[in-house]
Amino acid sequence: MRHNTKNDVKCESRAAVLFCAGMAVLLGCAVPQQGERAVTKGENPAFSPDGKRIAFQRLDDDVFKLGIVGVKGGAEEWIEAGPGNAAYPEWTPSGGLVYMYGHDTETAYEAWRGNSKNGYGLRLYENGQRRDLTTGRCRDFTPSVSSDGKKAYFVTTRGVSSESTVYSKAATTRIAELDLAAGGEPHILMESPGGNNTGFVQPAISPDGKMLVWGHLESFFDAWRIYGTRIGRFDRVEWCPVSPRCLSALAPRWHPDGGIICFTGFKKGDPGWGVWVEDIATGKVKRLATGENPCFSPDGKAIAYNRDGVVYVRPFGRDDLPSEILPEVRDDDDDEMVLWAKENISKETSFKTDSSRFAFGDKTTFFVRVKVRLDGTAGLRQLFIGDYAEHEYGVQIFANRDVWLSTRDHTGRYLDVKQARYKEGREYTFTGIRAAGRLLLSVDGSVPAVAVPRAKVLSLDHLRRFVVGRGLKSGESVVKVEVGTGWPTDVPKFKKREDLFK
Amino acid sequence: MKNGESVMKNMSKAVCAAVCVACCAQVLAGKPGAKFDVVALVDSLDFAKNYDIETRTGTVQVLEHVLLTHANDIWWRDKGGGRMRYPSKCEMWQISEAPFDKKRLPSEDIYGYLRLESPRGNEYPVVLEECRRRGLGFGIHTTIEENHWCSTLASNWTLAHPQYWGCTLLGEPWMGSCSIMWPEVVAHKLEMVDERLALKPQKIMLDFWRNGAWSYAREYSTPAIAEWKRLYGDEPLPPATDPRWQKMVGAHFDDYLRKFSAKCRAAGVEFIGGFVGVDDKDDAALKKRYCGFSWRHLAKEGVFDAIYVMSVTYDPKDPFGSTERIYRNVMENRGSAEVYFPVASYNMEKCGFGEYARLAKISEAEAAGRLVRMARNAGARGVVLECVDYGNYRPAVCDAIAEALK
Repeated sequence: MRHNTKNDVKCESRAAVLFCAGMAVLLGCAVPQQGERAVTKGENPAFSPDGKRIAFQRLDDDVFKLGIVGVKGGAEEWIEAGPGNAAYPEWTPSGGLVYMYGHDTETAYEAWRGNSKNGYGLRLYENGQRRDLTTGRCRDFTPSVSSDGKKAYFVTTRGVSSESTVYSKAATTRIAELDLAAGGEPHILMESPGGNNTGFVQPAISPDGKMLVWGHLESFFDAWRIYGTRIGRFDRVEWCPVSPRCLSALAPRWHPDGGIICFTGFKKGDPGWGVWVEDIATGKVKRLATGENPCFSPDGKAIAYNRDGVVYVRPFGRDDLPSEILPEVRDDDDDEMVLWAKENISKETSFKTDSSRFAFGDKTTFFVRVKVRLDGTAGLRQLFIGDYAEHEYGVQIFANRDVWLSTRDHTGRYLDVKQARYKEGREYTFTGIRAAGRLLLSVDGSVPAVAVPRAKVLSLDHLRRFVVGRGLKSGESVVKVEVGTGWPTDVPKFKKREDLFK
Repeated sequence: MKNGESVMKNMSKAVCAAVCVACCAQVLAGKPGAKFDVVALVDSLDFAKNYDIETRTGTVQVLEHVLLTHANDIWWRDKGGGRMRYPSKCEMWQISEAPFDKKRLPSEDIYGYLRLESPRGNEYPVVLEECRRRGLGFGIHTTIEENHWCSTLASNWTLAHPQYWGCTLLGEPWMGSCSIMWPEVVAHKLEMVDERLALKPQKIMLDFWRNGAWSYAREYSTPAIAEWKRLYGDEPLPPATDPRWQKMVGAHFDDYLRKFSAKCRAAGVEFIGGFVGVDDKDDAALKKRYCGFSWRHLAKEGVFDAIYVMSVTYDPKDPFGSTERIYRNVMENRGSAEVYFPVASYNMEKCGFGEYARLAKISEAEAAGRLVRMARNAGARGVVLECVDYGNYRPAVCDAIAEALK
């Protein structure tokens, strides 16, 4: 949230320098960069519907306060100034504010022992009155209010498991919808895929109310990335990555015209977190400034953000429009082509075959599909092994209490993706895919689990043999095993950017 | 040790036992006249469901529970991943883990609601002072890691400074840790040392096992690439397993350790390095996965006042015999550094006393006792109980440790 980055861009003019420096002295903080104007100390700015004021939060004496200030600075009006903490202000069209608020007076132990209901919920400030919209021992945060003022979308921990070990498969967060007019309980729309290193932050509803974008962390070694979907299409298979993979990107906000989002982003070589914009239809992006938590003004002509604990505003004009396409990897364009198949294997069997057909290198998308009959989940069964000269376990599907697809990175280090434990005593089809940028594993045609290795995968060029059915117990069998290239027909493809507009 | 009441009841008994153990140990330790340390590594967070560790009372209750192990020296964990156990200015204190930073995922269990890093939960100095008051040894157990295999536990400073993040060979930055190759990162780490020294510990142990997924494979940062070019010209960047790459990156860790050591020395605080995968040859397991593999060289250089061998790569067919050989090798290669060996409840690197017991087909208590005797006979300064959680050193094991010191 607060960070120290280089402020090495010269101000536009002498007058601007003097004004900016004056504000900086006033605010006791960093010198503004090109074209921007310091407004006040704070973070997470949000323009009011008339564009004349900015709501923000400020950490002051160990309390997060929530205030409003004019876009040109001046006197601050405090909406929340303690006790308790308030953050993430979002305006309603009628001039109210929806934000996160909590006043946790107990220690964690007291709360845990006493079954506390203290948490962080959403609160509405309207016409001088405060009203709690949601309560409970959970965290409801980063709200986004629809342009008609009827709905709020936010990230919540309500209903998620309290298991937080490193190996937990429990989701950390969900995205919920709240009917601001009717009230009532929030409606859960989406849950982050299992694992305490995956989760959501900061959803943003588009101005036309048809699209939702949010920050999504997909795995421990992954970066935050912006995803999107159409309202009403909340199944995992409908989610589409919106920001380029080479960016760390989160906290999106919409331009009032609806075609552009701004967000907090970082690309290797940048001087720090930056304010980025993206044309959501084309994927073109641009970095505008060093800062975080940007939002557009209601007329779309200005953008506010924070840096080093100060809120800044700068114009947003034609020259700021996204213009750069960053490289992307697409790995599901080709259709399935089965290259090798065997049936009814009930004990470990080794197969030698034409090696050249299975020289997948490090870029070819290939899959292994294993239909199995298993009598239990106890013990290790190496259902399929692709033994390559480059590594004995070049690719492998194995099952213990869970089912796994594994491969190696270019240094031989183990990489995997897993699906949660399967039920006992029936047939399954496990389909593992090694694509250029990710590993995927589907059980019975389910939406696949995804892992992004963040390392170059091992080039598999010299097949020695396939091994099938190692560790099978009496009565168990591999009903069918297939190896092929392309995207397997039994695994649903994820949506792409263009699908967002269909 | 089922509940707090029995802990309280046993407290005075435990303190007496600890004093007795300390006296016995002093006489019987490998170094004549030297006190033999029975060190407990303690992370108060691990007691969060047993005591109210955000209060002075709860923190002291943790100490009392720990003393049931007969420990006479306690090294308190100062952070888990990047989450501090005291209000750290360097780590830019924020309320709770989440949701006050969008980049950090929340955790819904009790740990996610602790505010040990806030003024509300500032009991860290209290427990150090309590150890001093009781005549116990005390130190800080800190870690090389910036996360704890979990994004919820990432460091605030790391999350705020993506420009310093480590990168893969593909050039992909990762928010889990910063690259040691950046001078700014080293400067931050050294600032953290100052902050720890201000707490006036007797010792600081830097743990290289808890590395939070740090890897040579994620050190391809801009200064690392520049240094490689300077050293090897146009030769393409090597894989992280290349010894030249590891030597280049490792040299920066060594420099950091030298500076860490110098700060400790200036403050009159002992600096201890903790390493796993030590053997009697070339520490192959350590080299494969961890930084700090040059500990033998650094020990001879005098960088460390003491070495804590957190685990050894023993021969499973002869666990105690091979461990003893490794201990002797360590003692021969320690330079002027004193040495601690483990009596670990945690089975990290399969080196817990439970694993020794399983392999040797003896009881855990017997295994723990043998490990203490081996450490003492080797001339170690002490043993380290890794880690003391609620009830994980059972009374029989504690008694065996005490018995081994008689």
